[in-house]
Amino acid sequence: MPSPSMGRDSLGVPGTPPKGSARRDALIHHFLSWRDVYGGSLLAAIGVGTVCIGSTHSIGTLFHMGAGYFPIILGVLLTGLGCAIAVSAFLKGSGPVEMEPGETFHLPDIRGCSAIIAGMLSFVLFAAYVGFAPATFSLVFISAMGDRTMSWKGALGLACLMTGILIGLFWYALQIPLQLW
Amino acid sequence: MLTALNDLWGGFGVALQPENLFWCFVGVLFGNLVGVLPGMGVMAAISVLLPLTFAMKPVAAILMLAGIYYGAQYGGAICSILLNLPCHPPHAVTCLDGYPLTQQGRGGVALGVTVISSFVGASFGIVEMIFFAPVLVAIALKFGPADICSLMLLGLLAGATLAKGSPLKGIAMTVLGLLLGLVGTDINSGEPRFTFGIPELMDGIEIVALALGIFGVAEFLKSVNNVKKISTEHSRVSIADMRPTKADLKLAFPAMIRGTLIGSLCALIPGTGPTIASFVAYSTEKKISKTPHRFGRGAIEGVACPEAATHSSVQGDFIPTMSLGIPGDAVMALILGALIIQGITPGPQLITEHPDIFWGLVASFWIGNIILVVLNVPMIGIWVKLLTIPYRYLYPSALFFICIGVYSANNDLFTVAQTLAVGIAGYVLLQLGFHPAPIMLGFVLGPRFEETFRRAMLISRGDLMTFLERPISAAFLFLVVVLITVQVFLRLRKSGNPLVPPTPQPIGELD
Repeated sequence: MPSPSMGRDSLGVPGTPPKGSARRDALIHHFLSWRDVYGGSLLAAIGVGTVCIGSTHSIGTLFHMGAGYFPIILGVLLTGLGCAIAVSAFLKGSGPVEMEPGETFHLPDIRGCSAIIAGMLSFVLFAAYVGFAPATFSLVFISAMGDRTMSWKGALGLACLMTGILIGLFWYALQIPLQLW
Repeated sequence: MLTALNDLWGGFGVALQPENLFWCFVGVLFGNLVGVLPGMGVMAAISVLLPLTFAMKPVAAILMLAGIYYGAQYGGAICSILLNLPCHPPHAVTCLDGYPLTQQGRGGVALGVTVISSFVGASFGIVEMIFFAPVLVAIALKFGPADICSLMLLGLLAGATLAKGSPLKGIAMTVLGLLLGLVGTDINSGEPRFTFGIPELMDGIEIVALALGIFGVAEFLKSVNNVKKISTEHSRVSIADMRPTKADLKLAFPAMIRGTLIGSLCALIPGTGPTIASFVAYSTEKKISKTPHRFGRGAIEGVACPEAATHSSVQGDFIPTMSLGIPGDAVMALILGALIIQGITPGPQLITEHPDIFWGLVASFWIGNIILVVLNVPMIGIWVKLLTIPYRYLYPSALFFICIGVYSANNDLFTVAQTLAVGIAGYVLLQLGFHPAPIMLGFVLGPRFEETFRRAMLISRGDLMTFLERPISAAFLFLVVVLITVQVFLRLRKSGNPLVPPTPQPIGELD
């Protein structure tokens, strides 16, 4: 299938600078050089949170461990590891960015990501209040529209096909108990 | 030895039962399909089919899930050789020589050699499992809680540090996985922990939701609109092209044997899965070759050796999982999780208590591999056609299968929402440069690790020295120290993981 919308890529999405622009490169560089600081801090925060929640349970002794003992050990461990990652990255500062072999990095694709998230949310909401057939249709249609090379006809066709699979395979053949509509 | 062969005979009886044979076939077919499709992972495939196995007998369930794993290895090689897409990490090195062969119009030969090496490698891995697992079990039955605890620690650390990326980040991910494993009701006291008042979390985080969130949704969020266009200009292959010449076989055969041996050794070291095996095999083959300049330009040995290593290591991976209950990587953790869901306690007692599962699985490996050879040789044209399905059709369909699969695990929409939440969190971790595979390892082993640790402490009356006083436990802890020292030493000598050479052309590269 031809992809007439490929040109749209250069226009970019509002919010992210266009591809190849100096601002975008600087943003990527900044993020890559500081991401271990962010990541380490995030883990340390989770660790501290774990210790806080863990201490609401009985701790006990090493002989008779309470429900809180093991979580607190893990929380302390995670805090330590997070700090180690963050501090070592902070000391290195924003030098040349080291990428692992084979690793790639892209700024989040706003259109694609929001379509996938919105699609899954719509699945949960439709399935809860209407039924699984409209839920499947909206999940596939919305998430497919996230791809920049997808035409709305293609998305419509794919959504119909998947709804057909839901009815034919999961509902009729596998007899999974679900309310279609 | 004779008893092993006798048991194996019984295993064939189990594996050849029509029901089991059918599910084994479904597993390898689905695995092969997923392996071929660029952008689909083994983990996602196993997790999607996992809910389906809840209603099945344990033997059939395990045969099918294992079939997906090794079936995907056959498919992944096709993707690497014909498209230069290392969609499956173990086959990344196969691209180095496989794709140049394709460009020279000899892609069919590369595929033919791959199928032969895969079968040789897998067969050796199975033999290794037949004779080695019972020996391991005989030793492991003497283990007390403290020994098992130290062994788990070794397995967790090896899985965290030997995989991709920085060891520190790997360990952090393992700890995060252990923490996620704590969510739910504490088995000793019955109090709910880390449930944040949500009643659905009382039973813990659903393993399917975790696996599909991390390896499905998060991956799609990362690669949507970032997948490079696939060129299929060289990928027309028919059966006639697949027959290697005598000269090819003469070059490939010794490489195949070397790869097999390397793979089977790597399988025995916990934490070194097929990916590391294939990398080690390729660099060894290049080092001992008389004509190293041919590598990277279409040397047939460069395809045969890593492929044989991958397959022998994939089969060998099951040894620690089935005989000790310690998974070597995330895929094994998921299969172990499936066993636990079926109500089977993994560990050294598994072979004696459930011989049908163990020996049926071993026998099904052989049957499955034969099915795969049959599937791959005459049907190569169909698989090649599948390669051309664009990503924009793949990921929305996969999302649908994920949602419906996760829902049918509990017939609960909360699990779907959980998957989305895990997926977004997993995407954040991926963007921050963390590799989330050790999370699975920690998650599956977490509850058992805590339980054995508590029991060991109860037995020793709270004396931590018990871990050093018991010789078996002390030996494992010694290995832990060795592992960490080697890692620190290698880190100090040069940065970057020494075991992993650069990937030729990674997936997800657009510009």
